[in-house]
Amino acid sequence: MHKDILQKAASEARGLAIDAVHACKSGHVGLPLGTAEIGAALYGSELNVNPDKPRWLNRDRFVLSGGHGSMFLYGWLHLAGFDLSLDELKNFRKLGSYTPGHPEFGETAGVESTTGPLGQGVGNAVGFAVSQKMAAAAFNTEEHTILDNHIVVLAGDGCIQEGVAHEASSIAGHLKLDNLIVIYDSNDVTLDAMAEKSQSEDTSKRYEALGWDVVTIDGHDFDAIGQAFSAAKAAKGKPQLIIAKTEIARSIEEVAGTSAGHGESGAIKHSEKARESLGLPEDRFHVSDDVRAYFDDLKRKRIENYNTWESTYDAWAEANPGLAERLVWGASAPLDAV
Amino acid sequence: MIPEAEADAKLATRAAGANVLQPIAAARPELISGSADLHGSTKNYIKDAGDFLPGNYSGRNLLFGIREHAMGALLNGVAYDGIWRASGATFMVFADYLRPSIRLASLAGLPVIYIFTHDSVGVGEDGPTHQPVETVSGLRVMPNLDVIRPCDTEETAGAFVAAMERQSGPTVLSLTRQGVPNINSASADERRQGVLKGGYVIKRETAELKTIIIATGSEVQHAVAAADELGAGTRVVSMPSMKRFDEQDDAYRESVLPSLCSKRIAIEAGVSDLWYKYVGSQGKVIGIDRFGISAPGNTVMEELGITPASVVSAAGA
Repeated sequence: MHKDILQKAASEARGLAIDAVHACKSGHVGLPLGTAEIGAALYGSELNVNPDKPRWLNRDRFVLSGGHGSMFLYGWLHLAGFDLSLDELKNFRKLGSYTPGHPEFGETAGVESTTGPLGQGVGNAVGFAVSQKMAAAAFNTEEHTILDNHIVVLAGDGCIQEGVAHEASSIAGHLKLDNLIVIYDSNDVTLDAMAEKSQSEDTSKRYEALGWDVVTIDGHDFDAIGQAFSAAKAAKGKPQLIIAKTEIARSIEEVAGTSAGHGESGAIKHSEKARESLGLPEDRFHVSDDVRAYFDDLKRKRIENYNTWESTYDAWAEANPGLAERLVWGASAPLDAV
Repeated sequence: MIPEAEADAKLATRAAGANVLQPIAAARPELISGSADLHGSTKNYIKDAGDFLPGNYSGRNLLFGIREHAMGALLNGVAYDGIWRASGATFMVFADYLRPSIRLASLAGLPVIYIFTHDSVGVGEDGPTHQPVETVSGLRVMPNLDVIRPCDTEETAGAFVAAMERQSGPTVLSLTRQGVPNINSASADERRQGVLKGGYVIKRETAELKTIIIATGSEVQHAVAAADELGAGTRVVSMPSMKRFDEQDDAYRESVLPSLCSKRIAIEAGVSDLWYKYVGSQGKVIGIDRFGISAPGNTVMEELGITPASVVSAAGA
């Protein structure tokens, strides 16, 4: 990973989240600020996606289970070159924008599922993982592998507390879904208070007991994120939990690391000082030329990678016309909205 | 594709559903069918399609265990992915366990199919904990969710086809535990096609129209029996899907429920509220606005007044 430019991108993504929330005076900065390095590692390096083809069959699927942190998704989709303009970020949460308060499937290119009610995204991701395991079994052949992607989830303390996430994680462990990677944004904070007031379980042990591989890392350390992610992608036989210890609302000094950092108030009251500490210029919604250039170059590589896959797909389709006909149904319906 | 039933057959609609599911699953290999540990009761297991198992992912039957909420969220994920057609099953009364996921499927426009059986106090001996009364109408009020409660084998065939054809949102198939007779006052084709329109005349009056009885599911048989007693001026409307009926044009709805006929009675083994929009302020609703009772299903139905006699009495008053 190119740590220097990714760190700069993370600062600018933090700026985009602060500016969007500041502009509409609502939303949540805690998650996008706390997980900016994770976002930079995923969208700036690790995710196998093609921004020009957001429904590509063999893309890595990313689900933001903590949907309140929608500016995380919008910021990184914009930087990675998906069809989401800077003007859309400026219109965050406004009528008719592609940037609704919580991510809504079908509204925004690159948004895989409608999230916000906590825990649902974890369950959706297990469903994606089931779908892809079933599809790999049905459509890959000995000669051609056309499906070998991963499902990546970012979930917070709230998601991990919800019962639906536990049920879904339980069946994912039982089914040995090793194409599933959950990144737990563990910042020890919930909305009302520090999480310790309502949470004292050992989540690592709970997930190990459910049949998952678990690793705990510093969620602001690019080397640690990269190593954990590579290991998770290579692992076989178990779903993967990466517990990333993070500081909520990092860079807004007055509220960072506390429940006051969860919502909009930090961005409204302290945005100028926070932007200064991030090294951002006075102009809001700033993206530097070198960050743009980095992501432009990355997008070219991602499209090359897609083209390589497409030639494999074409060879597969020619050799297996019956299978290709069956798969078309899924690739075309019912999701042409994005 | 789906064979017609014997005219005098008496079959639970969940069993009718099992018979309908097999030819659909054979024709549509993308259909997958899950159950929250109730495949034996919800009867939606796809024969010869195998189980989706740890390390062996070729089966199309998903065994969710007793995890209804995870089932709902997983089905949404499968539907978002778009390769497979997702369906899942449990008892109607447990729809509330996955309601948050049903809501998101409705909001996101996902074509998930829910097979919810044991859909009324007809459940019987298990008692009020397992007898839905508010559940079916509770689902009907959710935007973009199609709730279909078929009355017999032919309507069940139509309901499964309607669910498979719907791409813009999810469908609940509300099916009975107990056996119900075929309603032969309309042809098999009329009943199958009628489901697609949501409501239709299942028994037409043979004299000047005086009374309309509206019913769904296991109560259509009572409406027909009451109509036989009330005489030639009585029409029976089967209304398996309020949503579909409401989406028909004015002319069609007027042809089924002529506004000149204000003497209307609705009967359904569930809460009465929603039916007033069809019977109007002059009309009467025979429903169940309380929780159920532990006793044999037929006994509970009679005890709570879900009988032809209640309809006849309401018409005479």
